[in-house]
Amino acid sequence: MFFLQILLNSLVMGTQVVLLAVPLYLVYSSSKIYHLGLGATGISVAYALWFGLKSGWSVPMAIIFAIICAVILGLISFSLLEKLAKKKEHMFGLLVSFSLGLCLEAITAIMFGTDGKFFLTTPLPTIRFSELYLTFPGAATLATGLILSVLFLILVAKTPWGRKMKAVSENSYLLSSLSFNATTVRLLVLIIASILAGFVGIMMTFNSTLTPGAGFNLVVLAFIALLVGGVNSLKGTIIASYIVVLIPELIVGLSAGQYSVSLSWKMVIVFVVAAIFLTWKPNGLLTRKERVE
Amino acid sequence: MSLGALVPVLAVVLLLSGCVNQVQQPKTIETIKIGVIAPMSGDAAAYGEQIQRIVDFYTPKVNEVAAKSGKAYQFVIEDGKCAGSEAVTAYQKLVTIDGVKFVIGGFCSSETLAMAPLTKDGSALLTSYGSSNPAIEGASPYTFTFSYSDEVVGKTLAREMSKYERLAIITEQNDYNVGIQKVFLDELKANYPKVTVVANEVFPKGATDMRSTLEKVKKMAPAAVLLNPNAGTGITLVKQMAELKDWTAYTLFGQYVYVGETALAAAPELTNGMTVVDAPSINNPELTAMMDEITKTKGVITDVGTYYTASLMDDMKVVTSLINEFGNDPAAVQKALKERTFSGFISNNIDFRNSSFPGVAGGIYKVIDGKAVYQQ
Repeated sequence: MFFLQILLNSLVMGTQVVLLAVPLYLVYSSSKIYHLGLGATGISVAYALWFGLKSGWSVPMAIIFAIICAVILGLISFSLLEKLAKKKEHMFGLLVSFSLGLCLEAITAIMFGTDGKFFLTTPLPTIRFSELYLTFPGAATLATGLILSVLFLILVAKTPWGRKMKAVSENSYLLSSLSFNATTVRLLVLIIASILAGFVGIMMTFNSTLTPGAGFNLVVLAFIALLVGGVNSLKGTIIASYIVVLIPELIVGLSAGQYSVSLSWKMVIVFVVAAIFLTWKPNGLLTRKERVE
Repeated sequence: MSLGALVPVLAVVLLLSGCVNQVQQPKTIETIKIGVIAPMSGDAAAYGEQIQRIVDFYTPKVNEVAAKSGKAYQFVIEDGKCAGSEAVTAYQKLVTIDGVKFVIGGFCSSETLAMAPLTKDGSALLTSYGSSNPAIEGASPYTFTFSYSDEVVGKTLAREMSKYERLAIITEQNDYNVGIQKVFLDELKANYPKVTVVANEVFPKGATDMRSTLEKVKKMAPAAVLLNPNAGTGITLVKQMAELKDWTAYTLFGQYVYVGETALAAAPELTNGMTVVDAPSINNPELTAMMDEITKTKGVITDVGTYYTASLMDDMKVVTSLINEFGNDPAAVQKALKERTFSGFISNNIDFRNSSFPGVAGGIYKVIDGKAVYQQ
């Protein structure tokens, strides 16, 4: 039971990483830019929801407000990254998105303070399965993570929209000549990515604590998952998200007693796992070798 | 007496009256800047804001006394962010740009421990009002703290928890908490050999999900658990602990974080009955009246609490009274600090003669109906 409980806790965390790695993948697929500001975007949206609820608004009203904030943040990302995507200045794009993340973190800290905020100030309601337990936000994260993963896997691999999104980053000029608007595709992707990041930001902080810096570790994990899984493979990114979370969580969680490895070692183990996988499969877990012409 | 004889007498009287008038003329007031380092932003920002309220309130009182010595004090507050590197930057700014020779602070142990080596040359005297890490002891001849020592808290916790055979400790990774953890474990090892620490878990500073750590501790079935987080994570820890519903066969212990009602209210069923070791309770009517006045005129100071309000006021009072006496000279003030004892709100016998700490003992509290009630 102890092992299963640790596994369940780790699965929730892994799903949180999946839910941020998917938008990170979508943005990369459409613009070849690693949007590291997505972690802070998600947390900013969570703060918007928290603010709405604390202001006494109804739940639907607060959710609408949070979605509007997510869309605005998506538009801001678009205005900052679009020119760089067009010029194929991908490294600058990474720096700009990282700076955007730092700005959002600082703004939320100034507006709401750096102390932890809670959606529920009392212990969270839990679901029991025999001796196992799962918090409601944890269960919701698992369920939506599973549904969204499958949905996006189908969307990216099997639909014209997915193919268009990939084509945009490969050769947007050619796509334009076929009367497809690459700018609109990237705009849509950034808005969807911001909403998804907002969702995971809310789910994660609902399950623990809302602080301005809460998105940083998550976006680092999602970024590592994207690299380990292969930047061109959504399936690989999803699998890698669970790997980079489950292995460290299980090592930390199962090492009780005299040989206990503390939670403080978690990020060290994450980087070691990532280094091993990237050395073994530098192009990602599921990336096939391509013929070089 | 003839008029001729009166002339020199009148002249002397006039001359003397002139002298007297000269003496009665107002003196020029020497304004002395004193630095204050507090966490104005970062995890402990709530404390910084309240510390500023106390400094603002107490400055006129200090200056009222100082005026008699022809001095006035200006307290310049800088942000230490509860972090060593930031505190060092703030300290250097105060000493090199503002030219202060006395720095009151930091509040967090990380701040004070980082600044202490910079004072070794005697260029400035550092007196903390809140840092309690035992490593401050002897860190520099020019560094003192008005806080009680974590050593006292760690040892008291070890003594109280030694009634149980299987103990667990959950610690946040920062100077304050690691300081307590070290003293606690050393004390158990040295004096309570029958006690076994079955779980000694550390989580990173500011962690938000400690469920795996709690599961591990639960698995080891300790009879008593010591919660040793910092202010920011204290609430998260008890909330997540309360979610593990089937785990009740243990007695809970904590430190200063669980004296505050906010942390206790997050999981009242769990925290009720908890034993908390912190600073001794101070029942001084003058201090209580001043704290009420600060709350009324400046805003709440509940997070800083009674002890640290008292220690900050004592710090300001002792340092300025010695400057009044010895001038703006860190070496002379340091010498006086090491030779004398002082009376203040924290103790009637503040004594730095053999220590960097004032010699204040720890207090034991029991959580009853959501409030930490002082026991001894």
